[in-house]
This record gives sequence, C-alpha cells and structure tokens, in this order.
Amino acid sequence: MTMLSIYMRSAFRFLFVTIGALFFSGVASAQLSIDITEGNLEPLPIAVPDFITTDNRVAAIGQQVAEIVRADLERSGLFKPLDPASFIETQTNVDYEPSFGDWRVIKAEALVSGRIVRESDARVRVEFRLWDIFGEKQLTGLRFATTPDNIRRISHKVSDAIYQSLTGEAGYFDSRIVFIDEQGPKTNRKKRLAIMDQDGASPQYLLAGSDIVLTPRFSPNSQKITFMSYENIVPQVYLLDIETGRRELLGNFPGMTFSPRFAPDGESLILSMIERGNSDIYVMNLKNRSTTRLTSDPGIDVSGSFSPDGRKVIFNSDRGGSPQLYVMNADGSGVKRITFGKGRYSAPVWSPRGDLIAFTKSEGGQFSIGVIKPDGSGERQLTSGYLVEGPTWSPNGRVIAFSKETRGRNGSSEVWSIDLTGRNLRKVGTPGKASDPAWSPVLP
Amino acid sequence: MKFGVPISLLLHTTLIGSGFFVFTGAPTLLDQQKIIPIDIVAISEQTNIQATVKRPIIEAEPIVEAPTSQEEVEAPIVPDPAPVPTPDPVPVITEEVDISDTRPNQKSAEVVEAEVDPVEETETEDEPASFDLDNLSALIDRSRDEQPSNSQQRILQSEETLYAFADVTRNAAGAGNGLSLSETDALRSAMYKCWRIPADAKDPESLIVPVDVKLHRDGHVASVNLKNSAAVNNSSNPYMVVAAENALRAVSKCAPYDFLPAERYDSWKQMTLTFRPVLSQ
Repeated sequence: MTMLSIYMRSAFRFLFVTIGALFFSGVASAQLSIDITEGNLEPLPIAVPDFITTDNRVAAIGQQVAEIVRADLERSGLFKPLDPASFIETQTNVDYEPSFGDWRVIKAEALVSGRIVRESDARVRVEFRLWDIFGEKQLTGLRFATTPDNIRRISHKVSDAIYQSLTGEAGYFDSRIVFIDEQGPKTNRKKRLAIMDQDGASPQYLLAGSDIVLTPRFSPNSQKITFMSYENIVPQVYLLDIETGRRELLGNFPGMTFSPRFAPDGESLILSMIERGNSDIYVMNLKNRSTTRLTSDPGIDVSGSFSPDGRKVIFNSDRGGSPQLYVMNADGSGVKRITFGKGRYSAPVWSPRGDLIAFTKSEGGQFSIGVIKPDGSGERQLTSGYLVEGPTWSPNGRVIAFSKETRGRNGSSEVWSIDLTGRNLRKVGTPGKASDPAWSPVLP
Repeated sequence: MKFGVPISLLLHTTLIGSGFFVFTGAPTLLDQQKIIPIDIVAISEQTNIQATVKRPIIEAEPIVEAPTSQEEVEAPIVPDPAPVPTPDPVPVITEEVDISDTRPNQKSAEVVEAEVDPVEETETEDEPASFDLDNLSALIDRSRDEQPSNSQQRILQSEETLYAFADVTRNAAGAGNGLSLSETDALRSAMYKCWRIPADAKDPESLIVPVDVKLHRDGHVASVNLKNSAAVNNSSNPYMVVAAENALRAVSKCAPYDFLPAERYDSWKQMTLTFRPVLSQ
C-alpha cells in the first residue's frame, strides 16, 4: 500500500512538472515565429543615373561611366538597372542623402549616385556612393582617379564594387577573356589567339602567326597564359606573357604535351603528356622546369585541374571503361572516382570558389555543361546543345563561359556564358567566330 | 521488490511462449494491393483553429454538410497512384480552404445562438422551483404526455447550444494567438516576392537569418533588427553579411503588412521571421 502511494505521489509530481513545462513553453513560444524558406531569384532593381559633373568638358564621361556600369550590372543577371527616364529625383550633389521615398516609388532597391571631377587635362576623378533605398543607408562609397582613356576600366571597377557590396563576393567585370578567333569553314579553319574585355570590348590578336592554337589558359594571379600550339608539327605547350608579348616553349618533352593549366599559385603547370602511347598527368615547376609524374595508370589520364587551395586535382580518365572524373591529392595519391553517370565526362575545371567543378559531358549525341561538387554529389546540368564545351570560370566563380558550335558545315562557333544556377544564358560578343574561352583573373 | 524478478520472468516467458503459438506457421502473403499514398497533414502546428464540431442532423437541410466532409476524405485518394512526388503544400491549402468554408457556418451558429436563448427559457420554466416529489412525479407524467419527438427536439436544441458554445470558444481560440494558415501563407507569399533567396552564394542553406520585426497596427514596420547581429557581424562568411542585409531589406520592402488581420494585432505586432533558404534540386 505504501509502495502504491509512493508511486502515486511520484506520478502526480511528474504530471505537475509536465503540465508546468507545457505551460511555460507555451508562454515562451507565444511570440509569433515564422520560417521563410522560399524567395525569388529576381534581379535586384537598381538605379544608376548618369554621373553628375559641374564641368561640361567631362559631362560625356559621366554618361559613359553610368552606361558601362548599367550594362555590366544588367549582363550579370543579378541586377535590373532601371530606365533613367523613370527617375523622379535629380540629384545635384552626391554628398547628400537621396530622398529615399522618391526612389522607393519607382521600386529601386539600390541607388548609385556618382560624380566626375576634372582634376586636370589628363586626370579625372570618379566618385560614387551606393545607397540601400529600403535600409536608408550608404553601403559603400569609393573614389578613383585616372586618365580619361582609362575610363572603361574604372567603370568596370565601379561595377565590381557595387557587385561586391550587394552580393558579398568579388566582382568580375574588370577582367578579360582570351579566346580562339576562328576564320574560314570548318574544314579549313584558321585559329588565332585573341583577347578582349569580358564584355566583348576592345578585342585584339595576341599572336601574329597563323599557327593553330588551342586550349589557352590564364594564370590565376598574373597576366600570363599557357596554350597548346601546332607550331612545331608536334603540338606542344607554350607560355605567353600578355603584357610583354614574350613567348616560350615549355620543356622539350619526348611526346605530345597538351591540356595545360596553371596551379593556383601560378608557380607550376599541370599538363598531360603522351609517352609510348600512354597519356598521363604531370606537374611542371615553372622556375626550375622539373616535372613530376602524378598518374601512372595504363588508361588515358588527361585534363588535370587544381583545386583553389592547391591540395587536390580533378582529372579525366577512362581507366574505368569510359571517360569519367576522378579526384586525387596533389601528389597523385588517393585517387577517387566522383562521377558514375552514363555519359562521357571531359574538361573538368575547379571553381575559384572551390565549391564546384565544371565539366563537359556528352551523352546520346548531345553535349552539356554541368557542375558537380568535389565529393561527387549534386551534379547539375547547366546548359546543353549540339556542341557545347570547354567551360571556364569567372574569377569569382559565379559565371561559366564556354564555346558553343552550331550544326552544319558553316555552323557558327560562339562564346556564351551562364550563371552557375543555370540562369542568364548569354552570348559573349566576339568580333567573329570564336571558341575555347579562358577567363583572366581580375585585373590589378 | 522480492517478487519483482519472478513476476517479470513469468510474464516474459508467458509473452514469448504465447508468441510461439500465435506466430506458428508460415505467414500467408496477402494479395498485393496498389498503395495509394495519402499525406496526413497535421495543421495543429500551423493553426490553432479546432475542427468544426459536427452538428446533428435536425432537418433535411444540414445534410448538405455531409457530402462536403466526404469529399474531403475522398479528395486525397482521387490522384492516380502514379509516383507522387514530394509532398507539396497543396494539401495544406485544401485544408485551409476547408477552414474558411466553415466560416459561414460560424455566422449561422451565431444565428442559432439567438434562437437558442428562448429554448433555455422554456427549459427553466419547466424546471421545478423547489424540490417537491409530487411536483416531480407530475412533471414526469406530463413529459410522458408530450410527444416523444418534441422532447427529442428539445434535447437536440440544447445540444445545439453546446455546439454553438463550442464554435464560440473555437473562434475565441482562433483569435487568441497566432495566425491562421491562410494568414501565414499570405505572409510567406509576400516574403517570396520581397526576398531574394541567396541561391547563388556558397553553401546557401547555411545562411539562416532570424529577424525580429515589430509592426504598427496599420501594418507598417516599427522596427526590424537582426536577432543575433553579433553572429552576423563576426561571421567570416562575406555572404552572411549580404544575406542579413537582404533579409532586412525584404522586411522593409514588403511593408505595409495590411493584409494581416487587424483584430488580432496582438498576435503579429511582434514576430520573428527566420529567413532559411531551402533549395529544391
């Protein structure tokens, strides 16, 4: 009996404690709490009025800067520059807060108000402030001084600063793209190395000759490129300094060398070489030109690409029967296959952000550009077509440029870009037919 | 305590022993039937409105309710048994429609309430003033005289008051705290328009930003602050800072929140919105 009463008592106590706990938890959670899990991916409406000036001699520059910034932001797909005709407020001094209400009415979420100051005949100052219209505060404010002929680059720098402030990552507008300019029909095509700004402006040839040049790749931290050329009958890897125009043959290998790519520190190259019919991956130190062999499998191992921390290498091998992607340590150990899909994978390239690997895939007569996480999960196809290949990352790892060829004998070859979310597919303006783009790092 | 172990042993052996008898023989396989996936969506977390109390069928008219409730049951079964993908919020919405459907009933319940009062009066009339056995027996006799259907009607009517009361408490509970599912949905869909999800950031699903929002009665924002601004400011992740700014901007951009029910201002004058990107792939 006494046992029973003890049990009863403890049971009651338990009940009271439980009820009490329930009551207090009810009180604690009385404030409304809602999870917002879905949002849109609409571009952010941004107002970029022409940069103001008090000196009529530089008024055209103010207009030009705003136009370039608007075009940069629009092309990124993340922003929607508003039509200047819709602006209510006309600022006359960028040092005062704008009237946020006037900008809210036209649904602008950010405002760039800038000014051009003429310092001398050969020098102008470009100043701007970026305002958060709903937060009613300044997000960033910068000032650049430059010569008037450098205004395109300064405009790109302004775009980069706006981009960084609103997305949290570095911009990529002040960068260039090296590509292969193609002329003539597919059967007899001239391929020349050329370079242009990432928006397609100011294209120019890098090499005078008419040798066939393939797979140009940028150094991640200098204005150097490496590429493969058929200059000596046997294709070999070259190094070219864009600033000086100095070109050199890299090593005198017994076999054909190809698919070169810089290591993240720019001090070495990873490349493929065919020796006695077997293709393997090597790393070449650019200072002492010594080479280290990374793979020794009888299969075809090609297209090595370093991770941004330099500790891993992604490459393409057919050791499993069909060309698939493999990851290994930078010393060649710990090889692990990461793709098991049906198609044939090629040209893997590690994102500068490190979180994704872009690749070309062919399956059922269709090519596609896709991305995959380094652990082999989350494979996504971004775009596909008759022939899309050779992805290259923008310096911030958000955009991928690639070449796209259309069917037919006179089919065109173009450079296109796409966001890593698979949106914002756009043609990159090249002077003629073009292929094999390689994105430069952001200019210093 | 002394007998605990033997009793436990005895019970266990009985249980296991009976298991041998019960589960003897090979299990017979039942005919394979098509599996129709049905999602049972619990809405208790979303809303505190209780289910409507089913009214007894007094007249022919209220029978109309029955088919609607049947439809409700049938509805999830109708979709073909072809692979049903992820449970989308559609079932929730149908639930919500049901709830709003009941609102006209609540109004009619008020009408019922008005009708009910006189009935109670008649009941009090019938009740004896004091406890008198003679009176009581007379009362019983009289009630026998009354038509059975009539007394049944009275019982039903008094039950009706109960249901009406249940509806009133239901309304009160609904108005007490929290938002209904439809109102939460309205808020979510407003936020969908105003919040740019950081889908293209690195590891977007880790960018969770809780925001404290205080609202004026007219739906304008009184204040909006990060719940843990220190964590955001100290974060080494540059995307976090931008995600926090985006969340704050979304709250300001969506104002005024005049679609929230003014009569329940107390429930939404202060709330925590947690911006938690979920990417569907």
